[in-house]
Amino acid sequence: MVIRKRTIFIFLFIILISSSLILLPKASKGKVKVYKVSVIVRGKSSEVWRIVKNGMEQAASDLNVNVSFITLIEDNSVEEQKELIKREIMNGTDGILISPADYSSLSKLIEDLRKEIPIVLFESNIETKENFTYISCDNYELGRKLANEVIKNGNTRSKIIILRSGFNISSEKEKYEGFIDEISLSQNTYEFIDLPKDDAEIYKSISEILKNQDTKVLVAFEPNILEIAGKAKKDYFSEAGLYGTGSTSLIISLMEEKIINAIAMQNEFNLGYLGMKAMVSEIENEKIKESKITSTTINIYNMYSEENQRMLFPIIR
Amino acid sequence: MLKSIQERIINYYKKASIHNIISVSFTIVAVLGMIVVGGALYLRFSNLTEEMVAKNNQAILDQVNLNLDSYLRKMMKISDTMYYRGIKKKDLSSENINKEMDILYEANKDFLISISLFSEHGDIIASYPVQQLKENIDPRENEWFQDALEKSENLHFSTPHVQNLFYDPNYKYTWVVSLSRAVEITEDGKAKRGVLLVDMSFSGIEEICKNVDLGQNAYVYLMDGNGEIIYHPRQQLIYTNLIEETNNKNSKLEDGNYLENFQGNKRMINIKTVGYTGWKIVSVSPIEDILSGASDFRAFAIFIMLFAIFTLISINMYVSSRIANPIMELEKAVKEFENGVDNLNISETGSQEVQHLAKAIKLMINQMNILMDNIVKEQEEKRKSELNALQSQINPHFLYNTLDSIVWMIENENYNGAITMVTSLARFFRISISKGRNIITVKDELEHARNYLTIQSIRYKNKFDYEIEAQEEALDLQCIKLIVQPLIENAIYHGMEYMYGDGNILVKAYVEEENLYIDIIDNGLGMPQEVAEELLVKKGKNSSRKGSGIGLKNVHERIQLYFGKEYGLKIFSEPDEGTIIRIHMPANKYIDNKGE
Repeated sequence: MVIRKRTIFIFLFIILISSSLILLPKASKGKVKVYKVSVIVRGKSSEVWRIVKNGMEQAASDLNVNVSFITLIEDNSVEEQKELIKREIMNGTDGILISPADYSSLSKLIEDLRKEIPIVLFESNIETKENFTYISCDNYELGRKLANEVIKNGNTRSKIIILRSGFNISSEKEKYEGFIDEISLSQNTYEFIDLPKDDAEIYKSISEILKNQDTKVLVAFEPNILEIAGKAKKDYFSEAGLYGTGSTSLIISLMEEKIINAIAMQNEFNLGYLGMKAMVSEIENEKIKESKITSTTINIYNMYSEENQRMLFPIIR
Repeated sequence: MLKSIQERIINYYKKASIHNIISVSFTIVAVLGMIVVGGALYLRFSNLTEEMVAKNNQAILDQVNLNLDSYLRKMMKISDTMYYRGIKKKDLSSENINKEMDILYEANKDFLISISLFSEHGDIIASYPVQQLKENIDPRENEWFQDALEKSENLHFSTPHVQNLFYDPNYKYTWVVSLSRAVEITEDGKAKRGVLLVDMSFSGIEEICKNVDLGQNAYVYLMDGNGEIIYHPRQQLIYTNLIEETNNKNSKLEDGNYLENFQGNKRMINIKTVGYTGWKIVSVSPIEDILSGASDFRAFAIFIMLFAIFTLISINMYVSSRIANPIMELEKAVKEFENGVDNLNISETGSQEVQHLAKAIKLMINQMNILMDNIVKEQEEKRKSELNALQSQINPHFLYNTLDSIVWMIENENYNGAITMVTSLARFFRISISKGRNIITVKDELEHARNYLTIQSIRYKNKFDYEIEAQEEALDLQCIKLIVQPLIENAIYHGMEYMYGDGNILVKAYVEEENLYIDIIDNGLGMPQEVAEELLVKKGKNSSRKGSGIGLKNVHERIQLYFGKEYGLKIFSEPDEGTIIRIHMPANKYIDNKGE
């Protein structure tokens, strides 16, 4: 009897203690882990990445992430990216969100380092058989849309000059492919022109092209080159059509001035936001929801439509 | 199922001990009570929290409304001032309103982007800061322009949009909310229509809504009457369809407090309409957040409840054992009593009632024991006196035969013999009487036996010899009266009568280890030992018809009645060898006191 009583007593006491252990920490929980995420883009510190960065920052504040946004000294520098990836891992980052500057030459490094740290790719991809999380719009589709815009603007038998750069970057390459495939369906002809590295040199060679009266349409898939081309076109009062991708203020403004005829852009805010979200999911080993980034073409007539102005000028706080 | 459970419970209660009944019942009642009280408190608390949050939200919304209202009124006042103090008073063909615009803008530039005046055809008449209209822009395409001219009596607030009218050397694009109105312009004395545009910085509205502290995940957003979002803390995410908001649904609701289910989360919505604009301020508070305090409280309450239950059960167990244990002990004692245990130890512990009960039972048992003892004693007494009475009866045959023998002796002039006989007979009777005492000395008893033997040996014409031996220390010891004589009588009748040779009877009294033994030894016929042992056990009279009527058994019983079961007779016999009858009594000194 006494033993039974004692067992009941001890049993109750254990329940009491364990329940207090279970209940009390639950009540006082709420400390959220803050992740450190390094974002390595493939370009210089410029307005090009503005909206993407906005999206990432919004996601970072929603998901309690400490973001360090790292740009390169030189656009699309593979070596620099390699160094930066290693440096950030050394600095103890929790994950790397990277827009690779090269399709093939970064593959091995990224594949190897991914074993140590979560890595998510955004905007451009690498050549790999591994299952990487890759956030981007359909760049091929974006290229096609731009080609369509060129054709819609009355270019049926025009000579199109494609200012080529960064051809070994997956997103760029896909855009070219989409563009060419679509434009090939028309009577238009196209030609690739490779550009030098230096901005002034680029300006010079674009000016040369514009002087050629045969050239009806110029296409630039790098915002930087589009800006230079726009300036050149403005300076030379060229009649050639100018198309490209990018959403810097200068490009928008040049579009308003009708220097740039149309741009194709992906929803960069969403690219940044969903990229960061995928990064956090990767860090937390959660399943990443399939998310589609939309792309669209914008010209002077639709740029202030409700949808497009929201995409071009994100409201950030 | 339910019935069997009920039966089980009833069975349990029927069989359970008082201790279990008390502790289980108390515990069940206490736990139920705790749960009911705790649950009720928790429900009340969470309801109260919800109410409080609703009230609090309402108050905050009122405050936001007040701020927003005053902000909007300020804008309207700027527009009014511009119109009535500037535009209306001047003929714009000859005068300009730049100064008025300048003053107004500078006074309010914290939340103003620009003030501009357009003609009906979209030409810019005046603007401050002085700006160049973009080449490819036609103001008439804008909604604010059309709204102003369509409903010329009103002021119109637009939803947020990017200001795209003016050329900016830095390619800056700003989000604004436009306040537009139709105005009457005088040019060359002629009245013309125009549109006055005041672009408010979007951040002014943002400031008002942003700095609202509703709680961790709660927020305030602003929409126009059609559900178009004007301000939202995560506006861009809504714009790019990354998240959703229930603005379209809520725009149809009246002002007030609502609960909604949104993406699996319960949220509390407060809606407040801003005057004039028809805009609606909406506060959103996730119920989870509101009740997070309540869940803390719940955890605490459960903990307290568990603690209380634990304490209660402990106390119940203690109290019930305090109540039940004395009762159970009492019950145990009674059970023992039923089983006939003598030395009962009934403890008088527990509550006063139980103590009383224990006392009463104790008293009762004592009484009963006394009564029982008395009865036993009485019975013994009765038996003793019966046996004594029996003992006292002298076989009339013996008397008759003795007297007959005396007569014979006198007739034969054997006077000496007659004298011996009479003397012996007289002594025999004197000791038989012994002043009514039942206990006499061994000496007297042996004397009595000797007289008897004397008489009998004369009567049986010296057919047997006899001898009486006694240790000196045995003589003064106690002896029950008339116990040796019947045994000698037996020895004579059963041993001597049928003997052919010389009989011999030896009476021997001796003390051994505080015990007094008197052996009556004859060399008569004897009997098998089994028969001898049965003599003392057999029921009914085992005394010979010829004997004094008092058998061995009587003697045996009397000794036992006086001295206890360990004393009495023992018979050792062997056929043709003889018999020893051993009287066993305690060696008590004889004390001469009257009566017993």
